Amino acid sequence: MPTTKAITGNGAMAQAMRQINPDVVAAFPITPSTQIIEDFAEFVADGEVNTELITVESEHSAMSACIGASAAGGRVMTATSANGLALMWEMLYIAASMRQPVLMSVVNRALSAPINIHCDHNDSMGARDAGWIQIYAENNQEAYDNMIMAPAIAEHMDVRLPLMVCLDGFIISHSIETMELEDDQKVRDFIGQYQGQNTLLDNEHPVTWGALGLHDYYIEFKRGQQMAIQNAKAVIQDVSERFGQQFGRKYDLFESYRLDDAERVIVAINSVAGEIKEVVDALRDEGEKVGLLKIRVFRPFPYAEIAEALKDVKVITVLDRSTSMGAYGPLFGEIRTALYDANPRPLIYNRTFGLGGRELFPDDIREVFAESKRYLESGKIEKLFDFLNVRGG
Amino acid sequence: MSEYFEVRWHGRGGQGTVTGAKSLAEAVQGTGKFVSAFPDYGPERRGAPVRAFDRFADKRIRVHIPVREPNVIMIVDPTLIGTKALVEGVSDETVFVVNTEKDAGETKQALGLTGQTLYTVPANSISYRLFKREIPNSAMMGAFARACPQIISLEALVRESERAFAHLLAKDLVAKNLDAIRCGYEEVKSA
Repeated sequence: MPTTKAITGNGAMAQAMRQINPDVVAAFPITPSTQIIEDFAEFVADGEVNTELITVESEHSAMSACIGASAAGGRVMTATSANGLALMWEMLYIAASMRQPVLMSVVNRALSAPINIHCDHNDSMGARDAGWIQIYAENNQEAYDNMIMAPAIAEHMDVRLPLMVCLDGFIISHSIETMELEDDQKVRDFIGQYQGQNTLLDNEHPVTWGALGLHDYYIEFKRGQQMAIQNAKAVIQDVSERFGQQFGRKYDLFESYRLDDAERVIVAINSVAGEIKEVVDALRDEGEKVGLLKIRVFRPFPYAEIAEALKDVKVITVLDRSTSMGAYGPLFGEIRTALYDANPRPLIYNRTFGLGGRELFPDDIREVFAESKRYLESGKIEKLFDFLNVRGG
Repeated sequence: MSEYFEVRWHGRGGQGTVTGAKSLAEAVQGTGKFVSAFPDYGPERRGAPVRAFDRFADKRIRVHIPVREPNVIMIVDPTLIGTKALVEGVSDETVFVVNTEKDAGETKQALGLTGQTLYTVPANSISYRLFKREIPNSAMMGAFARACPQIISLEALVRESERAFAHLLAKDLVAKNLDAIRCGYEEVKSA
């Protein structure tokens, strides 16, 4: 039987880690994900898990230790945020290229400067090309559920890639919310045993990891990685389906919220989806045909499925909680690409919001829909790219 | 978003205001409601004004934004009275619960209130009596139950808090906190 609990996002992630009971956790705590590792260290100290907890001196070392432990055959986890993730950069690519299914919570937080500890998605969005599977969560329940599904996805033999579960810093990490915590044994049965491949500690079958690969082989490795992460799409769907059967909560590559017959749609990621759903419901009551497409899996990006889901929509507002300096928002680029072949092609435009924790209130979301209504009526976009709720705008 | 019952707490860093909001949410959750609780995030500085929020509902709570139009305002530190932040988003129906030794009518005047209901509770005195120091949040929770019986009864608050505190505190401290809740409930005055 699941337990209904009021628990923070960080607490929920720590519970998922306890239930997964990894062989090794190497971590260097950073705000706002510190509590995940603090809670987990308690589980280690209390003997509730068999994990070897390595307290390293930096995030670069944390990811290095994770890669080594994973290559040695262990199931490995860590957690980080923002500048911590940035310091892991070099090793993120190595974890993915070496096909190590390391699992990580990323509690999304703005990157310095100016110094800021609040939520935006520049940290994980910057890591989008590193070769990790990225799964995003609207709330505590989704963050926990995604992490419970993570081992079966990352460790699948068609995939074997590292996976990050992303949740909003403070907004989710530090908020108590009512959620269902599943039974330990049921979760462990769902996750199953981990079997490392070509492990370093298998002395009977010595192998080399991290070999040199120049113009003779490097590109074949990269193509292999690309195929593996493409394979992840079907695996995520299968695992999500199995999760739904086991635990009753349904997940797909993305969430379609009142998209049937919707003319105007917001596409967004993570906690702001909660506020958008409230506004969508209110506007639907007023007779407006609006909806939300909430991204769950950002890597691999489900281009075809999203194009299908949005094919009858007339105006799409893509909300990015991150910036790609000198370019449009990362999510906007993907959504626009997904819809390039749509016929007729909808109007699509991009708004940046929420950097460094700036709130987006329901009234602001109503404004967004009011603007998209104008575009629907005039048939043309006045401003392709802009910031919301910003001074001097 | 009026379908949620919303509470805003005002205190100063170090007084346990955030813990108070979270403990109240855990207790209300125990009665079968959906809850959320969170602080106004920022660097933690002792003595600086802090806010914390609760939402209670009979269905899943989807919003995460700070409470702007609270049903209840919990003032943990009366030295904050006079700052604008305390009365932001107040309507005629907003209920105030103030930790103060002063007269309820006088407190109401100091806050510039007219029609609203205000309850006072001497949570600091209760805290000194029981803990020999200033930790007013358990007494404030008791006063909340007095002000909002539709959300949680004293009986349920004591029962659920005992369950929640048992994981965190030694036995004697659990008992003292439950006493503080009961005293907070009993010693409420209104205007």
